[in-house]
Amino acid sequence: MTTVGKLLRERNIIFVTLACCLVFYLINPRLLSLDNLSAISRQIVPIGLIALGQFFVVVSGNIDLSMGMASVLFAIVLGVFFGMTGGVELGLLAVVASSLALGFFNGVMVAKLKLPAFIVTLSVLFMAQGLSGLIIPRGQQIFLMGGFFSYVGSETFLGIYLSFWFLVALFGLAYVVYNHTRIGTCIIAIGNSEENAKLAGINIDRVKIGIFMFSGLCSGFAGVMLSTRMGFVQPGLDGNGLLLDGIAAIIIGGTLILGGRGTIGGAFWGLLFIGLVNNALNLLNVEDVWHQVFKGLVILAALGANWILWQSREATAH
Amino acid sequence: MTHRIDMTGIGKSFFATRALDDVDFSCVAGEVHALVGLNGAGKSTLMKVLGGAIERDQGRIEMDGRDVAITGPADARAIGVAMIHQEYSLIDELTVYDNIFLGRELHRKGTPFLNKAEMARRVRAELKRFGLSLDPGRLVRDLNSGEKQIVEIMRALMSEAWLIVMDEPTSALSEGDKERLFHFIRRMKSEGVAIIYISHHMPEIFGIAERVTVMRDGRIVLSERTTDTTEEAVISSMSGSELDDFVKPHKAAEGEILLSVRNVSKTATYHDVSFDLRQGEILMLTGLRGCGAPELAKTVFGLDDGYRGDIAYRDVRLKPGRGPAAAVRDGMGLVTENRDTNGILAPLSVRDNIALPFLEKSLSFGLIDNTRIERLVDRAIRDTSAKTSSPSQEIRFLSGGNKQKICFSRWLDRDLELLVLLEPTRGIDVHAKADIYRIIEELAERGVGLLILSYEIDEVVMLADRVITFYEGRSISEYVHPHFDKDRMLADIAGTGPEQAA
Repeated sequence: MTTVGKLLRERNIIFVTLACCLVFYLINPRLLSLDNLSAISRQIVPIGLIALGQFFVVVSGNIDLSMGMASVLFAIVLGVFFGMTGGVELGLLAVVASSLALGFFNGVMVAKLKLPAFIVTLSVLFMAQGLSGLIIPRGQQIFLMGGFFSYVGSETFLGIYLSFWFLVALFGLAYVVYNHTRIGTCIIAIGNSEENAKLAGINIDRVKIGIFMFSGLCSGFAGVMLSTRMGFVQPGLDGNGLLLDGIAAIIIGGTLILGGRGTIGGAFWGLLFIGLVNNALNLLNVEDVWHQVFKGLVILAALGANWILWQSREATAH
Repeated sequence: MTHRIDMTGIGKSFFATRALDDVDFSCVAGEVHALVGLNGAGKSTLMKVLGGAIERDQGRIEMDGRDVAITGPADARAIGVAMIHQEYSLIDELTVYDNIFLGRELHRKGTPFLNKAEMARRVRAELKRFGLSLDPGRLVRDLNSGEKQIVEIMRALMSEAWLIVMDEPTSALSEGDKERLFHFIRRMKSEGVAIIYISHHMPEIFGIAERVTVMRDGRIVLSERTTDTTEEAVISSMSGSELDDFVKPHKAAEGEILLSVRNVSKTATYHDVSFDLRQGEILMLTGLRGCGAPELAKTVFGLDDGYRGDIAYRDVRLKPGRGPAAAVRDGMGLVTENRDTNGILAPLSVRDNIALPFLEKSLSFGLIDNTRIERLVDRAIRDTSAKTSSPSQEIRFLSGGNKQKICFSRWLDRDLELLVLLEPTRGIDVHAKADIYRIIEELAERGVGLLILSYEIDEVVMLADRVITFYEGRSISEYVHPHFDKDRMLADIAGTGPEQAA
């Protein structure tokens, strides 16, 4: 196979994203203006955090459905502490502690009680949703103003939002952990074959619990970022939309939904793709009700074309 | 010092099945100890006990005269026991060196970062020492089975194990790779490694092993030095001679033409093949792997729509792409060669596995008639003499031969007219083989047409009414019972038959 063909196959999401950029640009050049790209970079931060946490969970052969609603819950936790103390330090501490605890709960249920991750995290999703409504009754909201929120929400460094820098740094860290420490190797091994990973002496339970604690922590971060971007918190925030965007991003980025295969770089491109599509549909004044339909179609078209190309290449290769 | 392992009085049961019964087994460093037995004899179970994959019910394991507790794979490894599994234990999506160092990765000094260069270097050096060349950075999923085997062996070699268990290590290897493996083994022996070698290839065993132990029905029936026994003694202790009892009755198939295949071709698979199959006839297709015959057989069952030419069944032309569901409705059946992936539904019970294709026929008022299913299941188990502790047992706990019988039993109801079999006796023991042949004969007597693909020439000659040989997608010649010429058939499928000279 030629180098170009190999690049197309393994880095196809780059081409899909660039092709979408071109199409959007032809429709409306403003989409690729510096201002708008900057806006996209801020919009994708919560999705990106969820995608990153979800990435490790999915590669290990599991799924964490609780991430979206949990991030809403953690945003509310932050808001409540902010309302009580007027500061964020205690709130941030509470978010980190409770998000790790939630992840630990998910992990123990999956690793020790051998419950399917789908069921455990689906239950936790509902519990998080319920607790959010319990803390702040529906229809009410807490406004988050001042220092921390405007700083993280709108301050820039080298022309790029701090929140995006944070996301990039976290992806960079994840890249190193995934590719250059034994944690990454263990996660891939477990995702391929738990039995074989166990035979190799890997402590599967510990790895799984760790993965879920990380995805919990990512939900916590996503909640914080959500609150800084919105400037308020309420239980009606669309946590599940975030979750699905995050899952879509990593799958588009080439992560196998069945586990065992995926790259951090691919996940990041998938995230850019999702961010771009979300933003374009907003900017092109697509009616809200059609927004999701179009998003589905764009994803289907992009991946479908890709899949068909890939298959025809496979066929000619043999 | 010279290590040794002594297992004494080992016992293990699965449900009602006694898999190991009071087994004594020893192995000494610097020796190859061959472990022999038919499928289901207990040799794999015994080795799993030693490797910590399953826990024994009774008995003790001693290393160098001291009791050792083996309750998990980590315990076995800690005392220097390494397993090379029959099913590959590698991780497809990781590189060769990642796999070899899995669970004991090398790190850059004082950091949590993997030292990939050093891992790759060590693997390359070790491969070189054994005269092998394989890029340690390749993903295992891109390797062929011979190369995967090499990685498995290298992993054991590099894990500082002194006892290596190999479960039929040559089954997937080419002749060249086998020679290389024996070279390995002799080398390891000279370096004080003990090897337990599970196999039933007598020349291999008598070529490299110092000791041979035979298991049957979970017990040791023979244990000798290879210099003190013979191949014949080992074989006769493995089994009786069930196969000799089976003699094909002579008959001429004069039934109606059931299936008619005319000028069927599929690009790069099979070319211009024509044949008829009559009711009650056993037609066997044979060739080498890659000869196109299994694909053709699957096409007949409706699993493929990308062919040209005509296939008529009971004088009706079959539409390409009609699918297996239509085939089953028409009275066709299929038993695939990949029993475990395509044949059975592993987590379901024996009963559900049998009942699956009958569900549509067992409806009363749109609901499944359970009494009818029960009757069917009981009869199926009886007719195939499958051994299962109960119909509700999960099928994955059965031995290969018994799983295969269950796969067969699905098709034994009287609506069956054509049965397609792919390698019907692959990987099953002699006893089960004889049962399978009996079932095939009974089906033929009942008027069912059988289209069978087999790569075993002795099986073909013994079972068939008619044989068609294949070579590279073309049908070479046809032989009718009793005019079978084994040497000519072998020449056909090797591409050197008289018809192929031109």
